[in-house]
Amino acid sequence: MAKASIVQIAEDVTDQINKKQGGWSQSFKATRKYKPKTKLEETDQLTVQTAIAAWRVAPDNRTDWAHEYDIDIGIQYRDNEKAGDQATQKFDELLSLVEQISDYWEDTRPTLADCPLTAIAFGTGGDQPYIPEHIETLNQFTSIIRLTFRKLR
Amino acid sequence: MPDMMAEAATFVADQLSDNLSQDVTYRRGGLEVDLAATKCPVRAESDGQVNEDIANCDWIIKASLLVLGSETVEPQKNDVIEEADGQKWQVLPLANEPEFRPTDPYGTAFRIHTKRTNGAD
Repeated sequence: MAKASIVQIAEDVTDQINKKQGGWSQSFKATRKYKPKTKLEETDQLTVQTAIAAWRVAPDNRTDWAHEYDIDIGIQYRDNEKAGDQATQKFDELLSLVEQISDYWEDTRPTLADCPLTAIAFGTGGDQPYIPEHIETLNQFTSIIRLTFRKLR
Repeated sequence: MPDMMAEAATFVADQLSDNLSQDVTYRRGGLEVDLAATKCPVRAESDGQVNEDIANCDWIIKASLLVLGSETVEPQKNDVIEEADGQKWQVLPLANEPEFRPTDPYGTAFRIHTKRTNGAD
């Protein structure tokens, strides 16, 4: 049975990230989740998860509907208590990784499951490359890259 | 005339420390002290933005026991409370509150907010 477009896209995004292992500045394995889940005790290891974030449908013309699929890539890491929220060098390295991942999608601008990539955004709506509250209350770097793919159906 | 409220606060802090506490190691950098701390119930919460599970726990520690490097100190962000079973609780602020507050107007004890950063050994 054919997978739903949004599922295929999420799977392809995860695969492409993992295929480029060795090409990123830090090693990790991205995992696809229906509902991303982590524990604070586990984020002392670099954690990368992908998930379906949103699916919007709107009329495009008299016969077609535009479907927009959002896929989130979440990146989490917490340094030890000695560095705490002052782990500037590590956080800088993580932001470099975020930029690398974002650049990868900008450069390749792929079409996945017949849906071209149309937008890249950061955060869950506020354009923040990381969540400041997590730095303050968890000593944790949390970044979300949102990819939007579009298809006329 | 003695301040009865201050005496009561001291009495309560003593009772907690003497009868409702466990031995923990309180650590800051290379300094540490073994002391009696009262563990409040652990609250599990999930961060709504990224669905991250966090175990929160408050600890009540008599101010006079918190001595690091022969100085009485106040709790600080990133201090660590370690239990006998190896669980580590890192002192971290809440979203709307600093990492600790006095339990009474006299500063007899501290209520310290922590989050678990590892499991039991």
